[in-house]
Amino acid sequence: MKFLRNIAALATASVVCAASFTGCTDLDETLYDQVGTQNYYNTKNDVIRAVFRPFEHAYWSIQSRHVLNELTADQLITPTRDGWWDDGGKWRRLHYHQWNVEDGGDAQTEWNGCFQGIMQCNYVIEDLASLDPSRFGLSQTEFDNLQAQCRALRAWFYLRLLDAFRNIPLAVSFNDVSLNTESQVDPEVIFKFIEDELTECTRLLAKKESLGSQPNLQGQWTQAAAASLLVRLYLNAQVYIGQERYADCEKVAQDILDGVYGPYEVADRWDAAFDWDNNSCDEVIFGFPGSQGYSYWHYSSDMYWWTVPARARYYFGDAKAKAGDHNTKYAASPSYDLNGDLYTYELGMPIQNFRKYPGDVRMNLYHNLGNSRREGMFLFGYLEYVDEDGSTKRVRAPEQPYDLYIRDAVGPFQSLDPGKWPANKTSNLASGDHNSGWHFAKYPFYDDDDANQMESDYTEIRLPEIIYSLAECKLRSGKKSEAARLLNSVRRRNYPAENLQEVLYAPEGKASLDEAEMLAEWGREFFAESRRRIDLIRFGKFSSGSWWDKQPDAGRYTEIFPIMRPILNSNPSLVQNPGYSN
Amino acid sequence: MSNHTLNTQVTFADHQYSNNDSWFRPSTSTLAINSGYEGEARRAYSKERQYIVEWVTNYNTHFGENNIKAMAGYSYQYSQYSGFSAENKDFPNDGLGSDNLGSGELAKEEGEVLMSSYRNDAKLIAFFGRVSYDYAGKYLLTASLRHEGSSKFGANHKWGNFPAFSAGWRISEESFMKGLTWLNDLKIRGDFGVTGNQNFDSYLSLNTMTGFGYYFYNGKYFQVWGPSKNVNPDLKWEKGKNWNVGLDFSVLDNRLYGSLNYFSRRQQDLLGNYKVSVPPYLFDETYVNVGTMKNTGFEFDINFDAVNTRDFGYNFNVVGTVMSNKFVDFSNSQYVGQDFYNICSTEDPYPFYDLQRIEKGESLGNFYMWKYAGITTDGDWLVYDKDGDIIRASQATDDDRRIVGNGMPKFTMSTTHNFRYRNFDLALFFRGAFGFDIFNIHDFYYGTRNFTGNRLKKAYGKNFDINPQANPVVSDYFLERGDYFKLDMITLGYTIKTPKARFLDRIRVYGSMKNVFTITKFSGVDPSTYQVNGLTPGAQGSRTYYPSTRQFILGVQVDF
Repeated sequence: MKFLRNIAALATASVVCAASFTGCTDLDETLYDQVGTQNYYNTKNDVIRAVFRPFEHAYWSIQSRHVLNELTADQLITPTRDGWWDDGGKWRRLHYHQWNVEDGGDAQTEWNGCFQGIMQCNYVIEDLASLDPSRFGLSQTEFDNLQAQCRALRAWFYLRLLDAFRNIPLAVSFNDVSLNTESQVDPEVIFKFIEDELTECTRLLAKKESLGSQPNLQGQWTQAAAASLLVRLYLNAQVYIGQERYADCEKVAQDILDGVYGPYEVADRWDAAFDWDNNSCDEVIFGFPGSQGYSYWHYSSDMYWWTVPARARYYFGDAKAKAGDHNTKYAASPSYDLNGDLYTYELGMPIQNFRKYPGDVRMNLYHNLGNSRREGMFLFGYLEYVDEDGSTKRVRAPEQPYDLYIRDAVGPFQSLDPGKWPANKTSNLASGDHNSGWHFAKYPFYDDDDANQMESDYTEIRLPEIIYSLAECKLRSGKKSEAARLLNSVRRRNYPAENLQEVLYAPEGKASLDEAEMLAEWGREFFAESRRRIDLIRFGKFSSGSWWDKQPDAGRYTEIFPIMRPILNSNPSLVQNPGYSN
Repeated sequence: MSNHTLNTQVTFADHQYSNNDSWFRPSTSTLAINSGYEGEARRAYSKERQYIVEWVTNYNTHFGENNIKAMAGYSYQYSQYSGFSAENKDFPNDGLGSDNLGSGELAKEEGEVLMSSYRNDAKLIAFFGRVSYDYAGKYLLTASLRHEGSSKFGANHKWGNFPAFSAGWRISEESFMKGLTWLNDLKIRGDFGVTGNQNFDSYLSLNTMTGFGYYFYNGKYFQVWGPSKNVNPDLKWEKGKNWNVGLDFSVLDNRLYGSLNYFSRRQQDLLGNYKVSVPPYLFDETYVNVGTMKNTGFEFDINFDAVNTRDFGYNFNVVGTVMSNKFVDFSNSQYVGQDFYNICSTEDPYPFYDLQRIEKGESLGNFYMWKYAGITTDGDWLVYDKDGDIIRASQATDDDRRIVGNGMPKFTMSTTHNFRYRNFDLALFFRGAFGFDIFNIHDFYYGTRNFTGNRLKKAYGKNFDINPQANPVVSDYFLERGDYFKLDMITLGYTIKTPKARFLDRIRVYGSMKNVFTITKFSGVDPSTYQVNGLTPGAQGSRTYYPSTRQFILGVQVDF
């Protein structure tokens, strides 16, 4: 009897379970703090957030490009200072062009960062093509504009990859991978793709209407921005695909200058394009929007935050800045040896380059002038400041007990008086200290009480780049006076009126212009703007030139970077660039 | 005559774990002064909840010498994790601690959020059953099946089947063994089973969007959103197929007993992050099933009650394993991987080559690096290249690296020895691992004059000839035998004979020492602190070290 009762109990329980069977076996996942992609697009803001994801990624990604294009060139160095910045020689390997497939580092980040940006752009472009704008309160024109901006951004990423690696795959779709190539294509294919995309974008994008601030264009790709990328592409076409396209470069650059793509003007101060209000600067053609509370990727350790002494927070008064503490990563390559004599290199020696034309306002010692204004671009000599007790102090080295006296030379100066030189005359990347090499401040470091601290946007493209590209094209085709006039139109703001006769290029002044001088002037105006390597390559000096602590390379293969081992491993159809091992 | 029993029970268990965390840094701390903030504080709350419902039915019956047991059941397990936190900086008074977060100034600044929350959950459901049969306790058979599903896997792969079979033969019960009086128990057994692993985060098979940084549009900043990971809808159970063959024995009046076991475990569809190519993916890593690994070995467990008289007793136990491992394949049908994977990278300031390589067909734990060949007269490193010639390390490339050692112990064991003499008792516990190498990571970082910071004495002794300008190279110069034998615990106790008291049964005083001594040739820190489980046995890339301590314990044990 008991047995039967138990069977009955078991049977009832089974029925109960079967009735709620779905609950018993339901393994669907419930999302709480993430949103499923399939039900993501509901409002206008959802669309905006998704569209600008690749833009924010693009802003983040500028850091690896800066390291690869400045530390491998002749103007910026990362010397070892009292044991700091040795890092197993990885910065030295960049300077000596002795990188290899195991290095990983910034070359790996550049590849992955750019291709991730490209895939994100593909993702957004395809999403926008599949959505109906009226569902989100947007017009078809607005959708087209957003789509075109993503295409311009994608072309910008491809331009970087073409420049750094030359041989890359072409990926244009996220949803249909059969449209992408798994293996690398000829550089001509990538060149043509970038050219076609940008040419179309110059028609589809918005155009700047008038001079002055236009908040709805901040951080957006405009016609002039797309055209500027074409200028970059054509200027370096000889390097990228072995064909000269200087005539095309000249045409597009002249159009930008003539206002075909909107009105732009060179600012009257050299630092206006980098200041907190550069979003309303008419010289800026495209800038990534920066703000201390939000994104500030150029005020980062790999870019402009670590270009000053380690204890510079006392000098600037910016201990509370959200970018954190300063550091000495970048300094200018030296002009003097340890006997006090000038070097005789053809390249490098950027400070001596600035000294060539006297009265350059950028050569002033950096000061915050108050009211969110600054002067000077360099930090040198003693850095004196007044502390909270009212006494004057000097910025000291971070660990060793000496006041900094920053010099345009690299050596173990330690606490030597100015004008004295160390006994050991070896000057190379491994023998520096915290006095070695002039530091610089491209973007301002306002103090903690200044409301505009770290408010600058990152200027990716500015009008002087177009003017200089146009000048170079003219110079190459023999029109020297026109080139000189173009360059002078930007240069004159750097010098006091009484010096202009001496510093401006002939026929407006006495200075002479030739190819070597053009390269030097690129180095002055665009000092530390992530392009020195590109300019050196174009003038044929990157692998064959020599500068401080640098001998010529074994071959020209160093003009592009190797594809790093983890990337080769994850895509077996990739072939390593020539000159590098697998 | 047969009889049977049937019972069923439902179990419900609920486990809740709450964590309340308060943190505060006063404005007077050096860290606060350097950061420029007058005080920093944080409050966080997290909660874990798991509940399990299990319903099991058992049925037993026997007829004659045949015994049958059957079991069927269902189990449902739900876990949820949630929490939130809030922080602020720049407080008007240090006395507030973290109890008045609203009074801080930092939260008023534009762009500061300073708070977060999260929630996620997971489910595990199983249907299972088992049948056991034995004849007179001599012939034993068991079969079971578990049909289990986890919410974490892809939509079409949530369920997995995990069968198991085992058979045993108690030879000692056979009539032809009855004559052996010294043999108390002898059983030979074998089994095969499949287990599963789903120990990773939820939602990895789903395509989700999440927030990233900030961008600007139409006059204001906003957070951008995008896909959070590469989606893998085919994520499925990692399965282990294991079989064992073994012998359990007990002889000499149960004074000597133990078991011997041969095992083979094949782990397939290993779960892990796998490097993939961008393009066509959005991220350079995907969480996938890829790879198969095999472990085979032999383990033994022997206990012997050697002496047992009124005044003196001694027994000991030895447990040991001999094991070999092989990484069978990196690929599965979907992801064709490479044949090897470098692992265990060193950290700054020497972030160079990885220490180990996992390679198809090879054991886990292979150290893959240059072979040391000496030091030049100017203190530079020399290594062998792939042809066996000696070259400077600065000229060597990845092609010159090779397998120079292995970090997985061939043999691990532990043994306990208990002595008793009158009222004294003494217990000794030893353990050891043999047949493996360790990369002396602390010598690598701190042992040469190249390191800028505090250095080991070796930098001025054994390693003095190395040029201070030369970075240490990842070579077998720093690879040493890791074999060790350690007396891990010794306890000496004395039982005080108390007069017959109603409440007091026994008082024993004892002293213990843990980590007494280690016999090893390894010249670095305690070799037993190096991990020998996991994917990088014998190697760690981090130069941090938490010292192993020696503990002394004195105690009194009172039995009521």
